Amino acid sequence: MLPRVRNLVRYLVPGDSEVDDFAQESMIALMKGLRSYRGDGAFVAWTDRVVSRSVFKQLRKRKRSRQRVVAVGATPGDDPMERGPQPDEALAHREAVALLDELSLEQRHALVLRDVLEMTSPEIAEQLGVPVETVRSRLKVAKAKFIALAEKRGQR
Amino acid sequence: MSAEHSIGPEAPVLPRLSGPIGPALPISDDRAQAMVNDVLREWDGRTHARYRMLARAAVFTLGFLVSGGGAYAVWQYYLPVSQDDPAPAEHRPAPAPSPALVPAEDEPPDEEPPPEAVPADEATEDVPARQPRRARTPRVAPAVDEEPVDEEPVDEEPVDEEPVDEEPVDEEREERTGGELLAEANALRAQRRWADAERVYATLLRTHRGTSDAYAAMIAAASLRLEKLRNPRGALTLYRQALRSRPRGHLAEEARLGIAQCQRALGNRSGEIQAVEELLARHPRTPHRAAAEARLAALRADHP
Repeated sequence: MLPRVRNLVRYLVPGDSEVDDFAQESMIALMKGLRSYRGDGAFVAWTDRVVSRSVFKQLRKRKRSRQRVVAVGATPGDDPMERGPQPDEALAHREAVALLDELSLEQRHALVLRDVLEMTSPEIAEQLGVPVETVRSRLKVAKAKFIALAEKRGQR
Repeated sequence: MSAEHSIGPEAPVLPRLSGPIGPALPISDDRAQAMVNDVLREWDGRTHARYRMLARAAVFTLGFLVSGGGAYAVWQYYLPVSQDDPAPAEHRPAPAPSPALVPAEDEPPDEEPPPEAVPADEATEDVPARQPRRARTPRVAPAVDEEPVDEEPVDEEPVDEEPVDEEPVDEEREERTGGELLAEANALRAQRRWADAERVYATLLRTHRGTSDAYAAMIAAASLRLEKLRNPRGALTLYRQALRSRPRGHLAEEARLGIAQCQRALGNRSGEIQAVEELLARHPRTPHRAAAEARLAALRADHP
């Protein structure tokens, strides 16, 4: 459970430095919401939704208190790779979030909700509280920007 | 990378999460354990804090009730002694002008003396119990105990009990949350099980009426009917329903566009014209503006 929560949080939040803070709050949100889970749907899908809602809530709270979430990469020694080298698949994820860190939060969230949580545009619109066309345009722009950034990195 | 452009707008660019592998930096087992412990401690602390607060509130309420009840009992005990009978005797006739008490005076003239006799006989024991009844008598007692004839205010109650239909909905509502149902429908869509997904949306609409999940499900189910299930009539119903439920909702533009598409699929030219006109009028900044205007011009050209 914890790895998935941390991974989803990392997808939604720029930088590595605050992942565990967000994950901790999300875990508490999960425990709080556990009573409402009836066991009918997929548990993973339920946890993903709770975690994403919790992250959005925390981000809104931080925005209100003028606290910004800045993309800060892992500094050596600060958050060491305690398990040694990561598998290739994890490296692909790391590359993806490095690119995501360069998108705006709005574009990032739309992209993650669609690609990672496999939500439809109307659902993303409801989740983010924006019109569906806004979601579509965010997705379009985010994807184009993401691909352009990936190409740019590939050329280096 | 240019190949990715040709994959289409729906192709994901982010790798999905699978197992423990993902974008977060891995942490050691010890650290993970410490983190879980922190969460549990935090949760425990919050729960205890809540219980402590509830306990304090309960103690305070209990204290308030006990002291209030004691004060009330003392007041009840001493009041009849100080005022003797005149007070109850005067209190009784007071509600008499109300129509409920008028027949009471006519019918059982024998019953009138007991109230007056009661305080004298039972002053030592039943006075505290009698007092509250006496206080309520003008409002409740005449209608309930004596004369059902005058239960005119009862007419108001059935009006409040109108929403009978909601009861079965509440029963179903407890089964699964809207989010769970949406997730299930999504999973079914991913497997291209359109009809099953539609059934799940229908369940959500039935059991979570009025929620934002239901609103999203209405639009999602409508597009499913229109694009995958070849049921434009059913889709039209849902789009209209969504629009009625939240005329200015986040998905209103989507609903209006859907209505126009449904009318087109149904071959209802006038309906389509009306829907496109409404889309342009209500959402002048729609990204579909150019296409909508072109379609409108084509429709009008066909049948000026």
